[in-house]
Amino acid sequence: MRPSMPDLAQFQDAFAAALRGGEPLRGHGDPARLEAGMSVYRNTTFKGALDALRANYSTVERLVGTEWFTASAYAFLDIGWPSDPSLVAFGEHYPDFLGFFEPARSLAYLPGVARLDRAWTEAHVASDAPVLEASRLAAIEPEALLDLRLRLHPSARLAWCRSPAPTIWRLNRPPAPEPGEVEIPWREEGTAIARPYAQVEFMILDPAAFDLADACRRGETLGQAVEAGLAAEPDAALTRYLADLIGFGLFQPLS
Amino acid sequence: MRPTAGLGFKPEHFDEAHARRAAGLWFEVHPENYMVDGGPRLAMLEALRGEHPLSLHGVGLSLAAAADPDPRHLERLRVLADRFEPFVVSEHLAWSAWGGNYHPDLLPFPRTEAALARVARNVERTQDALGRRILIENPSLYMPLDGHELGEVEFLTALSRRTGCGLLVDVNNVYVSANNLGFSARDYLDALPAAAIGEIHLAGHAADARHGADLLIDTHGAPVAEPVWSLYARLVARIGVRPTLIERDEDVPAFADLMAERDRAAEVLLGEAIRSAHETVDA
Repeated sequence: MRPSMPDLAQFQDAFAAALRGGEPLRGHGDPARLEAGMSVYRNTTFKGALDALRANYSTVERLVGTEWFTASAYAFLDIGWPSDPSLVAFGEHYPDFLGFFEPARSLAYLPGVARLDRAWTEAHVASDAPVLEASRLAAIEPEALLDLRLRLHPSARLAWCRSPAPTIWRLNRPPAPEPGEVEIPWREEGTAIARPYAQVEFMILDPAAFDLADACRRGETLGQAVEAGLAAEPDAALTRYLADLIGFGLFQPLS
Repeated sequence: MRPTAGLGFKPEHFDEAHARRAAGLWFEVHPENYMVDGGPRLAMLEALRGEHPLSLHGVGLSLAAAADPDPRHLERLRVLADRFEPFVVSEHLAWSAWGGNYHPDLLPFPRTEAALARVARNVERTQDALGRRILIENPSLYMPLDGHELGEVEFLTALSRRTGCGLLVDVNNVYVSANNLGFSARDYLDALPAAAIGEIHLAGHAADARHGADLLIDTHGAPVAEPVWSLYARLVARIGVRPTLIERDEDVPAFADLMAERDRAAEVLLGEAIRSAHETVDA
């Protein structure tokens, strides 16, 4: 009597495990031929995931090289496979992963660079939406201005980095800069990344500008945001910072 | 103008693709690459669709999995189909998503009656959600599996009959599978039900580095091979004209080179169209 065949679900469990490097598949004829076939599926599967991660962390790869990046990708996949067939936004937790990936320990700026690659990806695929024009604010009564809540554009992403990752990231974005060494002052830096129009834009922010923008992101009033900015830098030229952020396209129109 | 021969759309060729005028030229994309909220990708697709017919060729619905298609994925696919009005929507006879993991490949399964019932149910769910018929593509296979109760042509024919779905015949996949599993590509293609076939794919393959020509891989990384062109011509002569796609995903050459392959397929279709018109006149 034939042993009962596994049902489809059992087959898939066994195949998927074998695919991801676990217990080899059995019970389908010559093991060598089976393994030759599994290798093809395995190569394609890993390549698909790797290509998606490379596409989404291109600046990281540029800094560490393809070999190092590939090794990190395999370690990352070991912890978790893609869960969404749309690989456009695959690798959300790769920046966090780099934070405790041993070979990255001496590259203190790397998780920050990865976070910015992530922010770029999210900005790139975010909803289209109109942008707040400066002239619109000029039409508001001064007393009412500080009570306004400015909403961030749906594509906007803010990041504060404890390293000069923003400068390093900017220097390694296309168009490809000249290879070579650059002296970078070691300091904390903030960034805003958004896609207010057709292309993703990027801006480095001083602490006051960052805290002002972040307060707006949290839904605070413009008055509270100004206080947050002044707390970071008491002498900050906040009206200029605000004008820059509006000119950058960081905000949605007033509701 | 009805779609004749088309190309898989490559964003790096957007300007040329958008501007090119050729009778019946159409483009195909993977909807999974466009399941985003906004931005340049969608704008590009919108512009392309303004000039050419579009086909959505899904890779991630995992219709051969022992699970219902992901409703969120179905919904995203429906949104794209409603917005871009493709002339055809297709998927694969394969699984990829399972147990919360998505494996970026098209994976095989034992073709049992139970599996047929499952795939049919999944196809029906998909067609209901989209409000349209879909085509199902035959897979590339790399090793035999035990447990089949149905042949592949038998399975696809039954699937089409049960659900009303159509078939997307990938001639290169037939060639590769036939080589790897030791069956006749010609017999396979001759047995497919002509009326169910809605689209044809042509692509390139390569021999496995270690096992050589005994194990061909569906790489989509080379021009269409001559034996595949022959099988294609034979298929068209039997079933008539069908929208035909040249697939190239790796080692992508210049747009002009892709168009040359596309033009070759268009010539085959034109030849068949003329021949069958004469037959009608002479009859």
